[in-house]
Amino acid sequence: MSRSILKSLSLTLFNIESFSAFFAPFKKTLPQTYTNNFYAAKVVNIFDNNDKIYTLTIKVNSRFSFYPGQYVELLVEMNGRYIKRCFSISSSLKQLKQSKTINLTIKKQVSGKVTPWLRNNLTINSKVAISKAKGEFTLKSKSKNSLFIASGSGITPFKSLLLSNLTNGSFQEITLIYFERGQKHIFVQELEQLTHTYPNFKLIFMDTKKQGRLSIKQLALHCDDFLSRDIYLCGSANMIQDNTQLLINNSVSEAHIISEQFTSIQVTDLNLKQDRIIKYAKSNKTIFQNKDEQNNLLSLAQNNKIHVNYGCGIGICHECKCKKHSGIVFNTKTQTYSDNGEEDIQLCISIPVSHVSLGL
Amino acid sequence: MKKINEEQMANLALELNAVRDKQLADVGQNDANYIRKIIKIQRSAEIIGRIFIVSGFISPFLWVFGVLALSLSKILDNMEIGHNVLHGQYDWMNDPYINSQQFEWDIACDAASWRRVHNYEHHTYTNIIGKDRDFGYGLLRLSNDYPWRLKNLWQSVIYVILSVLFQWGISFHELAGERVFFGKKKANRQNKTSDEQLKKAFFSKGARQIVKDYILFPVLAGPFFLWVLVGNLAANIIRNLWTSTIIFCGHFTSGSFTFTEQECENESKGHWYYRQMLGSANINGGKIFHILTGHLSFQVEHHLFPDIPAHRYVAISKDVKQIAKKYDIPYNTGSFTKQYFSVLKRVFYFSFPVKDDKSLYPKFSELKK
Repeated sequence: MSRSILKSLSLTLFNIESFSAFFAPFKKTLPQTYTNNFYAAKVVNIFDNNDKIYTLTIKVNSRFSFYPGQYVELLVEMNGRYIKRCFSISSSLKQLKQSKTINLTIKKQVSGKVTPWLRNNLTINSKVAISKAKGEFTLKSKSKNSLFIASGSGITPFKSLLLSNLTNGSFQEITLIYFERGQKHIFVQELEQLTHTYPNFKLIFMDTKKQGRLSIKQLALHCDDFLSRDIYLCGSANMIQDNTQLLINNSVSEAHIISEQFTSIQVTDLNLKQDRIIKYAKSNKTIFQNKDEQNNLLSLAQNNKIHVNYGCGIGICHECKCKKHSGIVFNTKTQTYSDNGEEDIQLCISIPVSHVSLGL
Repeated sequence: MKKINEEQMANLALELNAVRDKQLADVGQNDANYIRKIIKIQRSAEIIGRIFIVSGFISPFLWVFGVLALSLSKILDNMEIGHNVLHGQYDWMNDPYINSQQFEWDIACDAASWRRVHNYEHHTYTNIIGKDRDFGYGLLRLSNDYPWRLKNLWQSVIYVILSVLFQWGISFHELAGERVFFGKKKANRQNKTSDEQLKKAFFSKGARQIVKDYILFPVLAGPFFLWVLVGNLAANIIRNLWTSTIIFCGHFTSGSFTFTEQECENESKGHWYYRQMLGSANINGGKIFHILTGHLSFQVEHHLFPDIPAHRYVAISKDVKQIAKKYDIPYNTGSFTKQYFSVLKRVFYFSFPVKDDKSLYPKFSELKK
């Protein structure tokens, strides 16, 4: 029977889109796995890389696949709430093939709610769910030499890229420059092992505390042919911005720079007096809100002629409910700050305090 | 009692906000487990009910048991699950199915249409004559704010019919049927959804419910077609009578205040809270009774905090009662018999051109300062 017939049958009989969704509350599997957007998965190992970084090994569905460098959304139930976060895969294709597992290497955000919770509460056999692999941070050319520049937990996608691609001889030359504060680098042994096995792989550890950030002098010293290479950057927003600028200033064409930005904003880091950009994804509109303005998202949408459902305007009726893809908002009814991740919010009582992306 | 002053209203708002914040801080795993447990009970009851209804040919007792189980399922789906989920009480869970935007319930009324009118119009403008269309559902005259007409004479009969067909009444009412189908428009009402959309939702959801209970499930039972058809009809009627009865006890008992639009223009949060307390009524009962009413037996608490998980109203009511006492605000509650009798009395009373009985049917404008 075709899927659409089953769907309308299930809707008619039980007012729900699928029979598996009808039975979802009876099962331990996360309900998102019935929506086709997530795969059921479970934790099979937890390893501390150091006191701030840990690696989860996750058993995945046999249909799961990825390109090295991509990330997944990890979905967990945290105190009754389904929370998802994006993490780069740090393991190889070979590992996926052999044991149907992937590794997610995660940094505990100092004032974050989710990343420390995951480490303290997930145990072996914990049920989780993961999305399909996403992202464009994958190898662009198998024949061209590459330069990888990682900062902090930005090392994770490179680990997967290296493990998966060195072994099948894809690279001609590859150099990894890996920045971390105070020599807290992770994967040190594995990376060093790779340099022994693959002479085309060159590895440089940099201590940001001692050696500072990337400079053109360092670049010339460690990778003098950087102009002829594809350059991959992964790290914080600042790191990406600064290094991209540095490379462009030194005649690297923008087409040869591939970057992946790790963002994690916390309320404590927020400068509440900053300009904010509100993206309305469906209407394809972007609104700029001045740092002194404190408008709620409903009036912002209305002022900018974006079609929006609404009702009471005081946070009672939930008619203006809308999906927030990312960003932090302040709830004027409960006087609390939201999470940075995806969730439904009531526009009429939500004031954006960071850049916000909405499904409207 | 006297009308409380502005300062008292401001303090009332602070105290009730504190009650809300205390509960919200505690919302979490227990609430998620609770609603999933209720959904499991409801879906089990539905499956058991539908199987037993078919086995009516073995013994009518099995059929009766099946009808009761299916009624239980329909009541839970309508009240503790549907009503509360559609209020957004569980939206914080980020569950793809247990949330106000996705949930669809087992009644004729399309969930989105209901949400729009109930959550916005009824909960924002509770008991404001002319704004809260739920006050009498446009069918019953329940206060002298509306002039008496000859047709009101038989409104007690209309009430009984409405109760039996409650799901259809709600469905027609929520899309503002008199406007959409008969063109009776009010000048000051904005239409955010087009008549065509409303009609489409009305017919497609209504048809789906008819197909399900009176065609598809009976056909699946083959030779026992009639057992299933009558069983489903009985379960729907039982659910209709139950929900209608409980809902009427929420605002139409004696002692429920009515308000005018002018009194509520630019009202403060404190005034809004005050109005919700004056316009709602509770029913005393045990744990299972409260669950079957979807905790609408705590109508006062529900109107103060419509989006807090409803099973928390039991605990919240202790705080609300104390606050009501402190500010000398009436806390309308009583046994099911007392409250229901007073609803019947009100429907009957206003079917005649009667004088105001200020003690039974108070108006906010008549409260002394």
